[in-house]
Amino acid sequence: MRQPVYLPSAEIQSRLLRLAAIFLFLVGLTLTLSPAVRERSWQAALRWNHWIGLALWTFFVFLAHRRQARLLPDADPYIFPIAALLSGWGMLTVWRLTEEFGLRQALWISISLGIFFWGLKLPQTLDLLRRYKYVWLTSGLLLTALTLVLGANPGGAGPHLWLGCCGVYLQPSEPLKLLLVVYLAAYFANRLPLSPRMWPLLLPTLFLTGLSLTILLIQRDLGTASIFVFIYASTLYHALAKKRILLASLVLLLIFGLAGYTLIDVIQLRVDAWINPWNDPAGHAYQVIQSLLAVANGGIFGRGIGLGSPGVVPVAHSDFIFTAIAEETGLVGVVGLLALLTLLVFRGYQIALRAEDPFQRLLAAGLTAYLGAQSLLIIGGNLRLLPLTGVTLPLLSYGGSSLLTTFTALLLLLHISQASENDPAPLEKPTPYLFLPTLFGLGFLAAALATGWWGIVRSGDLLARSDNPRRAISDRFVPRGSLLDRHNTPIAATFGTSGNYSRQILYPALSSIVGYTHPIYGQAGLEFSLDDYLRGLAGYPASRIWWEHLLYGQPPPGLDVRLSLDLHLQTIADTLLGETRGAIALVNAKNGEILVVTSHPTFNANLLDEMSAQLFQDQDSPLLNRAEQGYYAPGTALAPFWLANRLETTSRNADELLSQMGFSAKTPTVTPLQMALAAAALSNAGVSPSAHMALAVNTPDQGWLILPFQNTDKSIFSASAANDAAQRLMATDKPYWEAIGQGGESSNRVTWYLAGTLPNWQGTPLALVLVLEADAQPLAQEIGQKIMNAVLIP
Amino acid sequence: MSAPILLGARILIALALYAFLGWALYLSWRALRSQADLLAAQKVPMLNITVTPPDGQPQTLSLQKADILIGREADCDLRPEDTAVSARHTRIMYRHAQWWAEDLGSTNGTLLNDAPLRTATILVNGDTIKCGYTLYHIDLEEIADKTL
Repeated sequence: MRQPVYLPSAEIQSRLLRLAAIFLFLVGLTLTLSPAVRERSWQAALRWNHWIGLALWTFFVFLAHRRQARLLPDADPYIFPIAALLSGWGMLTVWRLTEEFGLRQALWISISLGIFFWGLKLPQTLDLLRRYKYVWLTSGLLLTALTLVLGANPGGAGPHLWLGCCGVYLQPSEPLKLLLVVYLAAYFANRLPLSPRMWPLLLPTLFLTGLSLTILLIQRDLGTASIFVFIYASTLYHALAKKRILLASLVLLLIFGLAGYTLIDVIQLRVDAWINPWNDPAGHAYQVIQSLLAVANGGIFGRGIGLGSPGVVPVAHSDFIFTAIAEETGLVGVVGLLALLTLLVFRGYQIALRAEDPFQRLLAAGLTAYLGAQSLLIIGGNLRLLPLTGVTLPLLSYGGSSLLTTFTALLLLLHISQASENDPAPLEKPTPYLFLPTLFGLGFLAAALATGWWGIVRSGDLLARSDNPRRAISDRFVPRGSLLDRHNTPIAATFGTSGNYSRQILYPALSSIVGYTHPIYGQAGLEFSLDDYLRGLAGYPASRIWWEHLLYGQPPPGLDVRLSLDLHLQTIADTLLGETRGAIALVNAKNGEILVVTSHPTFNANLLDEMSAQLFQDQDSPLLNRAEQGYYAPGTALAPFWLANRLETTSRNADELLSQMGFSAKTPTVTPLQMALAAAALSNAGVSPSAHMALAVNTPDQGWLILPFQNTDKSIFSASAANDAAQRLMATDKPYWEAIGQGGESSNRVTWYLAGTLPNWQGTPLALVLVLEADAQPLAQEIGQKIMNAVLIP
Repeated sequence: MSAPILLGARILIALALYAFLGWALYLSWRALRSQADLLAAQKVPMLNITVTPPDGQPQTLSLQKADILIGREADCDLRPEDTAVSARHTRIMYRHAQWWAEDLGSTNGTLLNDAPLRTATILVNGDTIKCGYTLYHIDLEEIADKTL
């Protein structure tokens, strides 16, 4: 027979700890190098400070491990390595978010491990806990009650749940959880064999648990209150093994939840934000939505430690540490994290099953259930599986009280496992010890699936949301493509160095057409419609985009786009229009390319920060692109088209003609651009071309590529009718036809000027439309003729 | 150039994390296996029982089984021709390096050396168990190695 393999606990533990140290070392290394990747330059200031935390971690973990191997040689060898790994991971994540908190967290880990170190030596700890259970619980309650009077909040605002001064604060409700578990375990272990009747047995525990809950409810610490309810229900279930206890507590929780929903505004806001966060993404659901955006940004592989933007989620270092980890390590890291927590819960229940007496068994199971439930509650809240409650993620979240409590709980588990080398106590009803860990396992599985759902399935939709600040952040690190005119003169371009890129429009008079891309006001105009090319999300091979996203978490450098605009003609048009309110559109009558587009008054997109408030309230609507979005009554400006229609062999009625020209027949208002395309039909043998402005994109592999556009050329008139009409409208001694019209009521009269090249014109056929928001026929004709002369007679 | 280095580090981080997990799971599995091996290595010693039916000749049986059931059910190891014996009457088992006898809630009860057997009791050499009218005389083999 083969000899059974036997590895001593201390050996298992030391190997696992070495792996944990390697893991943390690599995380630390990545964090050190991350600024170089972010700024794509070795000149960046690398991060070194977190190595202080890692050194402290290594020192204290080593000491505690050595002492545990000596004092508790038969204790469970998995619990301490898992705790060490998770606490180190949390500390580095906190450090990555806020250096100051990282240092504090490292110090708290050192203190916790110091207490752990000291506690290893006390073999009678468990007996002391059991014997003086009322003393412990009462002092915990008193401390928590003290927060009602002396409570403070280290963050300044928010609920006053802390006690302390001079920069060191403790949250007494954290150790109170532990004391409640101890009390309940000791009470049931002592009383259960004696009292067969339910109510006399439960009464004292109900009273004390109720008292704790009342204090927490007064303090509005709802997360901790739900943990208390869970601790009570699970310990009762462990002790009595009756499923109806779980059902009853679920029903009670629902009743209290409903009552709270109607009476307490915080609960109502949290539940509403959970059920439908999309209604209020900037208000009460802001945290949840930002958390989901972070998970979505993580995807499968994560953005890399130090390379994501988890800092944009509020309180990422405590309540949302899970999403910070999800963003930077992705589904791969999250599954590992959840597996570690599951393993911890399973080991805890194994210790409970092997415990040598009922007190230790109830205590081990209660401590494990408390850690598991708290982890699930906050992870579920982060992933919108559960309503959000402000509890910490044990071992990982920032917070000294939570760390101390968790390490104490694990210390008790180790003491119990050391004592359990003898025969386990008999267990009449084992169901709770199988049912609850299964439930926790399923919960962690659900969390992994939810991470996959938000991070993979819904990722694209979430990241495209306008409240995703990552787009604006990546704009500072990745150059955006330039917008060029038809002769490759830049209209808008990006300046600066990585980390400080800024967008400037070089021809500010085009602001209402080119638009802007702004971290607060979002995007408008061409900057919006051509965003995919300018941002490098289109025009590259998909593999290149994927690779850049994997390496940097950002798209590749943006691509330049060439527009059909002619800056020379544009300058002439802008100068001529001057201060007059109106718009000009000059198009190539053959192919619909827009050569000039002017909208006055306009604004300067470079000055958006300084004048935004003023812009949005301005009665002149400078943000409006009048040439493409301003709808004006055409009035008598339609005369050239009636003329061409009458010259047809079979003329149509007015409604038919208008609908064929693409104008709405009922209340005909048209944009200057629409009018220009219709006018182009008279200069292009009756065919109205389809307008477009984006001509080509400069791809790295194939050079300038012609951008496709939807061709909607439509024949409105026969060639002869169009040519005949143009000839009849010919301006005196000029190589173009022209027409003047007026539309609108007297209060908002507009003046139109239409012109176009003649059928026998040898150059590029052109069509011009000018609209002035005034009753000013001579001025319109003067500006229009000057533009036509400048364009056609150079 | 920094990004591919960092990508390598990220892959190593994932490997280290899963190495930790994999190693922990592997060790748990090995603990399971060594537990199984340990149990398999525990040898059940030979138990000699002399059965005396109410109206028959004594007969000596040698059994090497961790659980020996006495009763009239088909799956019992010892099935006496005795109507006073219940379907599952008594269990004799080897636990913690000892032989134990336990009454399985039989109608007529079990007697150990003429005293009613109320709880699982350790058997010593020469004990007599009475189920119904049938007598079982226990003869323990010397166990060479009790350190298991």
